[in-house]
Amino acid sequence: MRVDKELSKGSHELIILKLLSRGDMYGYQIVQQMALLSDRAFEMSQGSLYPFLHRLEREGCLTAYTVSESGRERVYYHLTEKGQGALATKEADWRNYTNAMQQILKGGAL
Amino acid sequence: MDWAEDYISRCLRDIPKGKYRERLRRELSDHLAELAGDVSHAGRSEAEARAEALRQMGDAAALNEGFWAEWLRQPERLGYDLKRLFGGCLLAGVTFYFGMALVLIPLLIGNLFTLPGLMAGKASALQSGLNGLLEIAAGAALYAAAFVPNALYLRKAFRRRPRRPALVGGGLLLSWAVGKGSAALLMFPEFGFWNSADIARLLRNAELAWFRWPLVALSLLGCAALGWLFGRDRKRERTEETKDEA
Repeated sequence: MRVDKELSKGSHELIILKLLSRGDMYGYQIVQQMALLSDRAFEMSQGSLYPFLHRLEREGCLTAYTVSESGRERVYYHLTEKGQGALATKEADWRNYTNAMQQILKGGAL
Repeated sequence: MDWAEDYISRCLRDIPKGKYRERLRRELSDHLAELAGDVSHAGRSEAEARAEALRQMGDAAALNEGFWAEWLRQPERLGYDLKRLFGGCLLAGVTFYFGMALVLIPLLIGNLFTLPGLMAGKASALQSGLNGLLEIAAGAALYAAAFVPNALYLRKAFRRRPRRPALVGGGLLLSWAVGKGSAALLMFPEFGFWNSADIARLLRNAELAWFRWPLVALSLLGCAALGWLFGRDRKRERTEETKDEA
């Protein structure tokens, strides 16, 4: 299943916040989870994930910490309280958007 | 993993050395290694795994743009800018004072290391020994010798930056202000800057040529002009013009 790139662009932030609400993850893990849970509908060029993560961190929605694993330095991301608030807002916005779109697609009364 | 290092360095082409670049390098390196490992475990050859990993990571030039946009918003950018502006001040200061002490004054007055003599004579030696035009030409040459290298340095330091003319012009103005401040500091003992009457005399009667208002105005204009001249991104302008024509 594939979703139009332009359509999926706006939802990356929500997806990242949602995935991190389930537990701390590093970049590659986030991409893998994103592909797995969406049946590869939300695949993105994997490198472009990092500017998203860094922006969210700069805005205080995430914090990052480094862990040494199998000889490699790995950066994990953690959802902050502010991030949880942002996630709740975005989820509500998304529901409103999809509900409204559903109404239109169903063909409501004229 | 030379192939990964090569790819990462292309992704980070425009990101200046510092914590953010190091962090990106570490994250991308870890990501690529894990991605290539997974593809390889799925039964692909090493070469195929590399190619697939690079494909999935995305175009290096496009990623460089994304990282660059994010670097511009990183807190470390302020430190980078301040260091470059300070570096520009040092460069301008060194070229200006070396130019003055080792070339201009000996050339015009015929006496090496005359700065102490300049002080003792209440800064009149330079003025009395010159006619107006020669003085302006010498001053212009000295400013150009100090500010053109500084403008080139700032142009390179602030490559790809939005509002680069303002950054280059601002950096030149800062160098100029720091230069003026240093000159004032050097004159502390002689003019007694604690005394406001001395300051007024210095500024109004221009005991030193470069404190005269026309020269101050010319210096400011010069900084703005050099900022515009060296700060413009001619390559980008040409690209935009070509696009418009197309």
